[in-house]
Amino acid sequence: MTSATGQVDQADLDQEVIKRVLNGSRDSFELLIVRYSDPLYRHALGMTGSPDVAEDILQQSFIKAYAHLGEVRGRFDAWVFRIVANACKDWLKNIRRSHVSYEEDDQPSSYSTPEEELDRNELRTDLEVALAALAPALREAFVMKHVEGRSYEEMAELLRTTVGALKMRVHRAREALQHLLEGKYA
Amino acid sequence: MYDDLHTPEDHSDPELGFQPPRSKPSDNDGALTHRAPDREVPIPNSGGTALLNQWLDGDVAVAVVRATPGGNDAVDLWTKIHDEAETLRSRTTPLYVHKRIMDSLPDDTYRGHHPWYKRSISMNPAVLLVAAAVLLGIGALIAHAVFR
Repeated sequence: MTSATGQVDQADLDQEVIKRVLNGSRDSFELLIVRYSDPLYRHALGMTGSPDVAEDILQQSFIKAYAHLGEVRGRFDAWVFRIVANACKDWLKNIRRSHVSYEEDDQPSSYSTPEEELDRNELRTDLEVALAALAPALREAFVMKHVEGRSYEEMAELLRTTVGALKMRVHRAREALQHLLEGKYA
Repeated sequence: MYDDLHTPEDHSDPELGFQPPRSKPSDNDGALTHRAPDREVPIPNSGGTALLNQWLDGDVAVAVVRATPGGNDAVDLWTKIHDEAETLRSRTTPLYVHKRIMDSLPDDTYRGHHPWYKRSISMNPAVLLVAAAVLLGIGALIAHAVFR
């Protein structure tokens, strides 16, 4: 988690980069992509369950951010996060998926035995199916809290809502997941 | 645990989708809804679920949850979910995605956004040679006009 001072410094650096891009230095935009793509990718992956869709959402969101860069007011990271978050929610509203596609994934496995990998893959699939049953707002809150490891305060700032509302969403998401998964795993 | 039960989007919102079965609201729950809109009120949960949420929020120790009926199973389930979430948290953007994004950005969005005389130029030997040649040419033209 970034400190308040760190965030201010980072915000200043971002503003410098934005100025350069607006002055015609297109290549400088890559600094912002490199700096922020990982947390945004994780959010998109957690929300959609598909690496391919997450990559597409990331790409479209950065293109949109580039086109509207002159409209950034305040922190760039929060602004671009909202672009990605809205794209994910739109995708979820348009395509209700019942299946996971983590298997499309080509990142290396970190499991010690094939049995462990099988168990974890099964849990991953069941968790994804359970997450797909949640409303986008609940899934978003759960992913931000548990997958991205954000604090409620940080979530509230990014989503422009109250800590109380977010706690309620996370609690409801947990209750729903508990209900959906406890028969098999508990 | 305290929370704002009066956030409109978190109440009668059909967008919130699947909800686990809940017990019928008690008189006590009804009383909560009559409080002032901006007050923080306790989340009306059953004891086990409330404790589970408190543990997952880091507010109580795991032993407290394990001591409740069904607590052990719930802790085991959430430990597995937490491990899976940790795996997802270590994911990074595939490197080719950066290039794909840069390649798909339009070339001319901000070109001409500012007048040419406000843009920065990078100096290199070729630029210096061209600049020197241009200045020499202008100087020669002026000298030719003056001393003709």
